[in-house]
Amino acid sequence: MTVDNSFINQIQDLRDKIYRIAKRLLISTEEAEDATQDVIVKLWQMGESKRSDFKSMEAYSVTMTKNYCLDRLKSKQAQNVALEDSNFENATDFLQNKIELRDELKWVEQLIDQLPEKERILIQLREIEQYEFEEIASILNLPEGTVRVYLSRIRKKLRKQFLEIQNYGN
Amino acid sequence: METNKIETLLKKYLEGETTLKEETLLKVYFSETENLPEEWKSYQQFFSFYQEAKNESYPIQKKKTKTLLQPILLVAASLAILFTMQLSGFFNSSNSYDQIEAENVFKEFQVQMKSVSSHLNNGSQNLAYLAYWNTTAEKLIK
Repeated sequence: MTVDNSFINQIQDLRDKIYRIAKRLLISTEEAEDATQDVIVKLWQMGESKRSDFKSMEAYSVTMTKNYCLDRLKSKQAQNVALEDSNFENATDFLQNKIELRDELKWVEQLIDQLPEKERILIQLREIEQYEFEEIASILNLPEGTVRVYLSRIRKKLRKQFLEIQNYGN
Repeated sequence: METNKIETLLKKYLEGETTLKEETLLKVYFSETENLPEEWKSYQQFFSFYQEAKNESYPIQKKKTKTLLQPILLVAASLAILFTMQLSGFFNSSNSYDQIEAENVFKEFQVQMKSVSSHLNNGSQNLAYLAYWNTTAEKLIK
């Protein structure tokens, strides 16, 4: 039972992180919940000995989540089914959020969620989860320099789009 | 904090050259400072969103509404059943008339069936001769 408990404790901390990353990529909360559970089950099935092999359980599970979600998105595009689903949810989210006070924060989220998935995960990992460039590089399997360049490009792009939206409003 | 310092940090930020520490500095600055210059307000939106997004957690069972709804549903369903039973005359005691008539018809039917069967039995007595016919036929064949 001590083995089980250690896994559960590890997972408690990781679960929110996995969920946030999955949600950034899959957009829909329900799919993000499913993804979180699937990833946790996979981690559990690896068994204790394998899990302790990994230098960092966290980095490993983040990588796993990323791969899982990208696979999901790929199969979705192939089937061309659930895409509309997420669009729909986006639309209702959007309407609800318009009523909310922190309207402009939701604009930011909208902007981020409209980015291509590779850019979305980069923003998620750096700005929200606050990983070092080195960690992001290993998770995304990219050179560190490339990560910096991409991130700089996305930051500028987001700011530009945000300013454009504000100007439309005025 | 010096606005000049923030200015240079923001430039570095856009180039992807800030460290995590510097980025937290920026986040703290933008969340604490009011009366920001107009051109910085967009940064404030982004940084406060990032800070808020970090606190989102896995939703733990939203089933409360379901358990609340269930008893209400149960009551509504049972009322509906009672109502339809009432409509279909399940509780009507006025069906005693129908029952008496049905019993009368049944009795009549029984009488008729008895007379039919007694006539049938009459005929069957004559059939007994067939057995004799068989034995005599066998004798002749031998």
